Amino acid sequence: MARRSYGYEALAGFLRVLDAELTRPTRITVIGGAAIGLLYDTRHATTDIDLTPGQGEAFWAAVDRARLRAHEPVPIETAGIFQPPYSYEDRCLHLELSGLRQLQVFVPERHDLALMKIARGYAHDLQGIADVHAVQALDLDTLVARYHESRTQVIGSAEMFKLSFLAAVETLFGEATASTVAQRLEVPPPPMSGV
Amino acid sequence: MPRGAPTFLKQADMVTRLRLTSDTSSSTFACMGSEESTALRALFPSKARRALLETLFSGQVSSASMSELARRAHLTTRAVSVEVEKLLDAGLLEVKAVGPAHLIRVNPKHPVAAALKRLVSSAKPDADAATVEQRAVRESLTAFGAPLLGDEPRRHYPLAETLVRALKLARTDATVLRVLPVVLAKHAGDLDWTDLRERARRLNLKAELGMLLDLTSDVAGLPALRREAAQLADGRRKRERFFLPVHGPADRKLARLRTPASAARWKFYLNMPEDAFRETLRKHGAT
Repeated sequence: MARRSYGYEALAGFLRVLDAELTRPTRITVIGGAAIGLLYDTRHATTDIDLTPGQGEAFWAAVDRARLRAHEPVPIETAGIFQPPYSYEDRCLHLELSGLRQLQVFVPERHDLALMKIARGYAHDLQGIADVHAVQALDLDTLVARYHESRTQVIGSAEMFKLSFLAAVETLFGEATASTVAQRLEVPPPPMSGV
Repeated sequence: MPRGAPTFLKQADMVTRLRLTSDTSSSTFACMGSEESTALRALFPSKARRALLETLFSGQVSSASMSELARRAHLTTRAVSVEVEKLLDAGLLEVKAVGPAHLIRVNPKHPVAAALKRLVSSAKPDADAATVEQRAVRESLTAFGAPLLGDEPRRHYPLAETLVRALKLARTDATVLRVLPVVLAKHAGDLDWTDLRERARRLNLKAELGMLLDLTSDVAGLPALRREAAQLADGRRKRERFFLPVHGPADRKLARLRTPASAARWKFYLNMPEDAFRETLRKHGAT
């Protein structure tokens, strides 16, 4: 069967089928395009559900059973590499989906989601961030703060991360704003109190 | 509203007097989106003015130079200049000097500014004819196996026409570009290549099609596609272009650094390296 992309109803429907296959409370954090589609922009395209690492064999066995039962089995994978801001888990949002008994679904807060997309920063990643911004505006100061939280953890070139971040600011707020933000990226944030 | 006020300002004042509020249940326009879009077109029939209002009053940018406005609104700088001058005269826009640059922005103190922002923000672009066509192209692509959202797969166009229209759409939509190799790889054996090349030629998309065939040949391992691409080569093309819209120097630099070899052969810059396309092909069973 040719795979196609899934909207909100298909994603939510599949999560309910998965929930029915689980035998104990299970928490998952959905990231990437599925996160955008589930919580921020139900029109946003996604082709599968990416999860943060940490699920065990019992969960994946439930996924296999759910895919056999579901009308529209949505592919689920653990994200290969994801690079979130340092405290993103504290800011994750609980997705309220009716009918779930065992499954608790969390989605990163939108500025954290934006930074995860920026960490790779391909054209379609930046487009995804713009989709979120069009529905729920991102705050520039918050993005800059999360940039500083993320930059010590990014795998790969710091220079490319900075470039991707500036490209995202150009896309969201314009070239003039990005040129003033560039200076702010050189200044490290103030030290945390008590450290 | 003063007697001598420009017509469009009288139109904008009418927007205020219709009392568009954020509480749509009490608003004259009870539903979001398509009615606002229709109202916007009726009030501002000029496409250039509408594009400029949508760029500035929707919050896409807080301020921008004339050239950046032209780029974002897909207008010439002259068209922008004419409209900006009128809106400045009416007090809806103001100019702010930032170093040597002069940036245009909304005048938040104008009594109509808030109502215009609400109208522009509420207007659903889907009501626009161009967006209706885009949706049809995406539905057709989905019908041919593209992993795209949402809409039910419907074959509005035959395969070759779908590919060429999608290629045109892909010049502004990175998601569509990303899935085109999937469709091409799945249907390479079904295509009438002469017909495909002719359709691309008619829409002035020969180079784009050549790039797509070359790229798909590289990432899907289909050498026959490169032979088809070779028939589209035009040695006269010298100037390099950005395949997708770019928004500033960082965006341009990323595109230059990440352009796949196949795009570079066709004189395109693109912030989507080969592995972005390979990953999509891997996930959707087209390799």
